[in-house]
Amino acid sequence: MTTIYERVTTALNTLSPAVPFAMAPYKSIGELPDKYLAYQLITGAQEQSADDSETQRSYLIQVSTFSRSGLISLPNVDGAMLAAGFQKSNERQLPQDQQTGHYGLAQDYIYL
Amino acid sequence: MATHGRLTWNLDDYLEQFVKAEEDVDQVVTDLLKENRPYVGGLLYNYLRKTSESWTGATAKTIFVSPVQKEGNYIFIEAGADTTKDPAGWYKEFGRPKQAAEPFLRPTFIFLRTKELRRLMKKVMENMGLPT
Repeated sequence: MTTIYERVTTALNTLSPAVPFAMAPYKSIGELPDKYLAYQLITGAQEQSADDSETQRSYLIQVSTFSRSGLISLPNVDGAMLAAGFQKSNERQLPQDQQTGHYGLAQDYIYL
Repeated sequence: MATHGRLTWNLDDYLEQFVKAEEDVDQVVTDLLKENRPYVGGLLYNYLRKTSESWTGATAKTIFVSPVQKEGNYIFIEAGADTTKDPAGWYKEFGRPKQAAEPFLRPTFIFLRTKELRRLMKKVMENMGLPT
């Protein structure tokens, strides 16, 4: 069975040009990249059941884009995730990180 | 790839029962929210507590649940963490470059949507003697 993590990884691997990505928090030996993605499962919830068995589950995934140069030119995460069967949900700008200087955009996707 | 399904509140059949029984649905929803405001706050606190690797209590102080409100056809309460008081809740929920998120708001609301609203509504119906 394909796990939700495999689905996200497969989707983000299609980004062109490629952008470094990993499960949050992005662990780096030394400096963090200037631009990278970090993904995380926020929650998986049972949506439907029949005869005491689960028949449908939803997964809420957050993909955060971090960039030191701002948020004007970003990888097409929407395109990659939607092509892999995810539905777009909320997105929000994250405060600039005072330590690393990265700006952030968190985008939520649902997989049913 | 095609969309796989749709998210629902899973309450349509219960609401139909109220209409059939000629109950005032607005009043039922108002009472349900009023009665369960403290529970929603407690649920947020509980999720916050169990998802926190370390505990300072800073985010817990910002949790709020509003009184029941009505705007047009919508009857609702607002619940969350007031990040104008302290940004800790923001960082916990969404993470930072060197900090994974420890989400508690979104899981709480998804739990309410998928499980708890139906259970709470069922309780109201049972109290009113309606079939569930």
